[in-house]
Amino acid sequence: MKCNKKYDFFAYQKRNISPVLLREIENHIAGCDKCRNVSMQVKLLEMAINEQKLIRPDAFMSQRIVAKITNRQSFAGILRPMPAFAIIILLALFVGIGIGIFATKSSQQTIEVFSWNDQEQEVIEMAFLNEN
Amino acid sequence: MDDFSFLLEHIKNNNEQAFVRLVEAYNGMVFQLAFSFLKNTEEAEDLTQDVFLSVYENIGQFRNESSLKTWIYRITVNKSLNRQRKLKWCRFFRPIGSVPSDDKNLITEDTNPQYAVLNKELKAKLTNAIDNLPERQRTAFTLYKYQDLGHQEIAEIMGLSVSAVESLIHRAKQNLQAALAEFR
Repeated sequence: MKCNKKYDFFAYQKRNISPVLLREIENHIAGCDKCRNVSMQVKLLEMAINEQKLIRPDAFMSQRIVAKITNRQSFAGILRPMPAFAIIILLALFVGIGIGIFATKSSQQTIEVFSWNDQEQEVIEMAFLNEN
Repeated sequence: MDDFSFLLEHIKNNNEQAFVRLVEAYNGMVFQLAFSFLKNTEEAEDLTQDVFLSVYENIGQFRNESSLKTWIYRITVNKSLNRQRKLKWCRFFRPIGSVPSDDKNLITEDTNPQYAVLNKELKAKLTNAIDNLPERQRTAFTLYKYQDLGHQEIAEIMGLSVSAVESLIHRAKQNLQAALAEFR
């Protein structure tokens, strides 16, 4: 069944509406499956919310909070976990780049290797060719 | 006394005892609000610690434009929404088997027979309907339903007009009813 009525079932569940509207909704949901279901689901949701409202932090939480903040204060600006981690990563990066540059430079050193194809030899080779 | 604004000057002067009093006064409120957003006790406790750390570090910038309680509420809401967004991403990348044990400290059917009708699955389904609301509607509805705050106070926390808050709560209720209509 399609029903376009838009009642506030949250207010209805708390009986936070006028007696006239209350009677109207009650008459309506008696004959409307969809609205009866919504009203029931809203009631269940209210119960779930009320249940969650009963949750309290444990008795020592405030002590833990104060201890954590005091602890943090004593380390303030010196070695907080995130900056320390960032510094280590940056140092590792610089050391890595340094090693890389040093290794590249040392491998680029020119070593003189004598070869038969050196320019001086070519002249002789040409001389042999000319002889033939 | 509900508002502990009188502690403000002492805290600004690094009086540790005053800060301890502030934590003791508001840690329950902050934890409950964080839990109503995050539905997980460990996350809520972690966020509570985070909120008080922020309060401690930024108390010098507090300019008495609102009450201390409203300011703490505002920090909690902002941090809860940020954490919720982060957790959504984490859940997206987490393997299916490694779901953390939510609702660990919830009053269960065993401890409170009044709620025997609501099993864990149903509760999760119902409260997930709230999580699926748009962010501003979810915030207004959570402050209204879980914290029992008035429209004026919610307006101060969210930085909106009272009529805007009324409209957000009305739309949240309508959207929730539409979502709940699908449940059987």
